[in-house]
Amino acid sequence: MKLGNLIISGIVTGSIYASFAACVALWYRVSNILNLAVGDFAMLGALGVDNLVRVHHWKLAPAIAAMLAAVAVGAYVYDRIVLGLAQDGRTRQEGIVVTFFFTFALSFFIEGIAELLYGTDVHAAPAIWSGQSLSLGGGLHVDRAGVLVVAFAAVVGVTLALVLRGTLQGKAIEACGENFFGARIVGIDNRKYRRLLFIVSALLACVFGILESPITGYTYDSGAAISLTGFIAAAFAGFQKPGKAVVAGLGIGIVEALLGGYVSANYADTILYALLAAAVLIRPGAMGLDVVPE
Amino acid sequence: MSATTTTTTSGARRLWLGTDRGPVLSTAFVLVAGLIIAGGSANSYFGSVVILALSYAIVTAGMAVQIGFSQQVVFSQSVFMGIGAYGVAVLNANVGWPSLLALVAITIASGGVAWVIGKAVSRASGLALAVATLMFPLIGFGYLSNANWLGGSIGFPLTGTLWPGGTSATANGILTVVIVAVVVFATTRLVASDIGLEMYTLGVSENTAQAMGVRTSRRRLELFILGSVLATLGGAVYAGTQLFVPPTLVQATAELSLLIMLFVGGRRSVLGAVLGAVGIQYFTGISNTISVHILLIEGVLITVVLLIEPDGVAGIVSRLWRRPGPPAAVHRTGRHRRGARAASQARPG
Repeated sequence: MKLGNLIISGIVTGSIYASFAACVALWYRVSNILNLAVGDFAMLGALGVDNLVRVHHWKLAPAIAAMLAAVAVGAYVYDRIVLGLAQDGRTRQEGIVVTFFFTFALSFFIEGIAELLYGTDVHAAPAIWSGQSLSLGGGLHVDRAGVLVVAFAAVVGVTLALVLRGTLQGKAIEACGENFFGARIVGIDNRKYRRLLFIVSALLACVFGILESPITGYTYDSGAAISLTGFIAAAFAGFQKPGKAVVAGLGIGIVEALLGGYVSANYADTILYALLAAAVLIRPGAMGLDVVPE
Repeated sequence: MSATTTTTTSGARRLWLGTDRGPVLSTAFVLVAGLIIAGGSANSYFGSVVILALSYAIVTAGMAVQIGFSQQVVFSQSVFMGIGAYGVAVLNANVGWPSLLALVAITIASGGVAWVIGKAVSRASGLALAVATLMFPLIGFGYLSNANWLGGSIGFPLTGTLWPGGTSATANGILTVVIVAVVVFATTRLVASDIGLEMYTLGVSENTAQAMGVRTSRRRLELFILGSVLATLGGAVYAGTQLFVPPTLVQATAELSLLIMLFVGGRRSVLGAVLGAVGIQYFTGISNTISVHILLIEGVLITVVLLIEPDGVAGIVSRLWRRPGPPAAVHRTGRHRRGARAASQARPG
């Protein structure tokens, strides 16, 4: 029973990591930039909706709509101004520094804004599907918010897979990741796809934050840890294969829950990160990352 | 003095000092400015903030060589800073060693630790290297904040300052400045040497470096050890001057703060990295408004730096200092101007 409940909890957490990993991998394919601010969009969604409902007494649906609109506009403006200047000018910035540091800075900026607007306390968006946790029989339980998270993750995963594999836009997205200039030569507008996917991943993260926050609660700096785990899951897919990233995210979530339940609640995350670091160091090539032969 | 002796002396001097005056001038600047501050106002709040900043400057000087100059992006500096700080604290408080002796011992030992970890880490490059080391601060902070024998989430106090047997802030400050000056000299000299050129090539293109005969894995390992040892030294100085080591020193956000100091100051310049550390730490410590809104300010600052001048303040100063005339003679005639314009229009993007 304990094992079953831990696995259910792991699947819920893993669904979030998996979805964020898919977002990171998808956007990296198009832009060669890692979105390390993806978790911060989730935090903004959770704390923003909570603030509008609890402090400003908005109804839940308009509060969610307003936050989604605000995140979409923010992502669009960031892409037009910052990424536009960095990537679309005459001197296109490339390399490992650009890959990491623009979104690191964005993450800091969003956390700074959230600290200013929402303070440092733990808050959560109101539950969309409120009530007692659901019984699955045999002593197994799952939070209603958890069911929503897994369901939304499944819908997002299937939709992304269908779009990538079955549409012309999906092929264009894959082409952007293969070769930036090659894609442009055949008429693919990389900038359009970069912007579109950045906004889409920000919106997806925002929805996940709203759905998941009733389970864990968020503070202004909660996003970084989620981004990081999503990033690590995406790394196990070489940042290129959203499908593989989803599997890695789910696996990380389940292992994290089992470590917390059976090994040590205090050291669960530490052991998990140590295992992941060991996996990267033992076989970096297996993840499709750069390994230089000597 | 005979001609042979003169030639040998000047040869040895060239070998030690290099052909350009950059290392000597940078070191002299750090030494003079540091000694004026440490000697004159070490007991004031301003002085104490600068001394704290100098312990970070030791770390960022190593990062300038490893991350900025050689483009080997790693996220393990805060962990090695923690090894230095906690190592000195434990040897001082539990074993009874003087902090300075503990600093020397821990710094040397960290070279061995860095070699062992580096053997595994340096097999990876680029993104894999960054991913592999990104988890180190998470592991380190997760362990330290739960390790009761190291003070848990509160931290670990020391009993003795860096300067043996004394409580004088001035003596501690002067010793810190001297350590920073030695680090600045060693790193700027390294960057200006042939090995520095190999490291630079490694950062520009791994394949080109290999084609030129550079043993890339070995250089990556050496860079990892250098960056780690200097981070340990910075942590040891931190412990010896602050007399308290919190686990937040190892946190991922501490690693990001170090990176911001590096980028704002100038990632390809050792002196820029040192001044970046001092500047950021000084403004954070001196103003309550800045320290409250530090995340917001750092986010904007690093974005602006990356967009305007990726080489940071050092890049801006360097550009202003050199102030080049017309870019090249080719622009001087109408035909060449038209050619240059056509070439720039034909460029993709």
